[in-house]
Amino acid sequence: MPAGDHTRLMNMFMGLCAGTPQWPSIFLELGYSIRLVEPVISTDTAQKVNPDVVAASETHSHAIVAECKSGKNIDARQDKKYLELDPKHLAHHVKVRLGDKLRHACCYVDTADNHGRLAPHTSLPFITFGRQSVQGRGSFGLAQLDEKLSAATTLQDALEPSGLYPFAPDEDDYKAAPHVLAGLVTYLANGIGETGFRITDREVHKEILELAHPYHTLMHSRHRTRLVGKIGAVIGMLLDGDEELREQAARLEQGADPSAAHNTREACGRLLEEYWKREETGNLPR
Amino acid sequence: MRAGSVTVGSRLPRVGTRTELVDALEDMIVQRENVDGGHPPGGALRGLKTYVLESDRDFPRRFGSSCMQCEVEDTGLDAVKILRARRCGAATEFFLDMEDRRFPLLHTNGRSGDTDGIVGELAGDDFHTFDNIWLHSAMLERLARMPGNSSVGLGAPRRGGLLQAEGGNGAAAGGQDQGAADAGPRADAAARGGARIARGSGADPRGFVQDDVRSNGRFAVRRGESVREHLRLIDMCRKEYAGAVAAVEKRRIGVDKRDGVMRVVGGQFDFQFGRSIEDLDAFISWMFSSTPPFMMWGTKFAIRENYFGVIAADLHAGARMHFDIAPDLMRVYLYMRGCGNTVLRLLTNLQLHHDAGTTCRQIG
Repeated sequence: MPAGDHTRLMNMFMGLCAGTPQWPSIFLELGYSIRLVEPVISTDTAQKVNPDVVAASETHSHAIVAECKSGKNIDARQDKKYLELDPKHLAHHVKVRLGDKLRHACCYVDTADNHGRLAPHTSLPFITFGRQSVQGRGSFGLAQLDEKLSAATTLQDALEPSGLYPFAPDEDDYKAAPHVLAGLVTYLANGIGETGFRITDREVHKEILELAHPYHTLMHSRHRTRLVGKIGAVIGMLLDGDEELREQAARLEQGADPSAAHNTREACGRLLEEYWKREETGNLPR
Repeated sequence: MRAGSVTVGSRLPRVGTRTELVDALEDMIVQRENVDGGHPPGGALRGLKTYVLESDRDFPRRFGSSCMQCEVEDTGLDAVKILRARRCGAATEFFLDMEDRRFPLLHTNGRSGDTDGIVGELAGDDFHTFDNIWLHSAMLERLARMPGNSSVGLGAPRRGGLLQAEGGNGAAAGGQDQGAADAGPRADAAARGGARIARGSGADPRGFVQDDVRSNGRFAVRRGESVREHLRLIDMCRKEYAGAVAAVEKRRIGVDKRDGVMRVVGGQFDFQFGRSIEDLDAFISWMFSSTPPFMMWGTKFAIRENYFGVIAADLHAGARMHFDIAPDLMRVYLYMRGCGNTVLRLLTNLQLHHDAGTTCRQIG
């Protein structure tokens, strides 16, 4: 069950900012760190832009506003809003103590396979991941960054990170299911010895999100709410489809019960195996 | 022997002072059996043994599982309790010293076959309150070289100075330990599961001690009678270990708010294997099977050929984790609410059960 293409791009870009072994650290080397994930940024014209990641470097008083594009289309309205984005809107959200000095660039992050279709529809720069290299195209408004990105950085022998951004709200349920099940198993390991709980409760889903998403506090509340909703939907789907899980969940509501926790864990493992088998046979809903 | 002293099989005295505790431990130390003859059949070595645990919660008064029941009783000291465990029909008592709440000690002179089983059960049950501490090879080396300590045979394993490895099923992961001998002394020490470390002067048995130190934090007195040196050695280890756990936890991946600014902090741990993993499927199935020693639950997904992500849960600490695993490299993502002990458990047990040459760049 590989992650969706958008989630993969998120991880690959965030990896450039994170100092991941066997993965280029182009942005980290220039002092960038991730400041916002899935934010909502207001502009002067009361418009809102929804980039995927904002990384900023205090060293260079510069921010990168990145949108990961796994599809083959550019949203013209969103593209226009990026052009209207002013550093002052960003400074408020990023909370970089740079005052008026902050500069920024908005960009798209895409794959070489899609780049030919996307590039003609925007004037914004791109960071493009190919099979063998990653490269910037266009100007990012900072000479040092332009210099680094203009040359292709090899990805031969590189290992893309997969744990920085686990799953998105619009992920297919079956792709999000392993994360939710792992979160549930973790919650069970934490909850033994405590009073009973309902795995359908929103509070439990919020807890699972906090366990599962390392950067959840950098997300806009709207995005977090959507992720909590996704977790609830996946748990609902799992309960609907599995009698054993329903039975164990009912036992968990009664109070501390290590055997119910153990059996729930077993049920989660079995469900994952079933998902694997169904995926192998192409029998999963798309 | 003092009044209320400890004899083999007797109930432990309800000590009222630290001095009385040390006296009781001295009684345990001199009742050692089978020292020169080594371990008797069945692993029935008696004598003072101290287990260092890691705990994130207080010990409850009563707890247990289907095969073991435990009770905790007070003594005259707030921080010292008596833990009575009944397992397979046999009862064994431990002094439980909780002066350091995160790393409590269990002292006993019960048979090692019984006490190892009980501590193993404590560290592997469904309550997940306690864990062993996990001394990887570099840490054992450092401990052996600390001031006043001398190692017996560390780095020269074929002369019998190092302990035998504990049981493990790492062979399922594609073979291990064959490379230990040529992976250097550090690797060999880890593969054998511990080291033998002495403290004090050997002229008078009351002035020195020689402990068999296992990678899972068991300190068994083998020679000598100095409780003071035994406890000093454990204290040194505990301080070193607490520092290592804190360093790991400082590297957890998440967000930190300082001066009103949210920042991404932490980074992955990079485990390098001494030898490439030949069968990644088997390795991942073995490592994430929810059983000791790893206590990891997980499911893998292919990122590309021979490279997997693993969505995981640490059942001990109750933490979500993530792994990227290739034949030569394993990236470990410990998220903000994870426990530092988890990463040290991983490193030590990979050295013990998979590949003695396993190292982690961020853990010295």
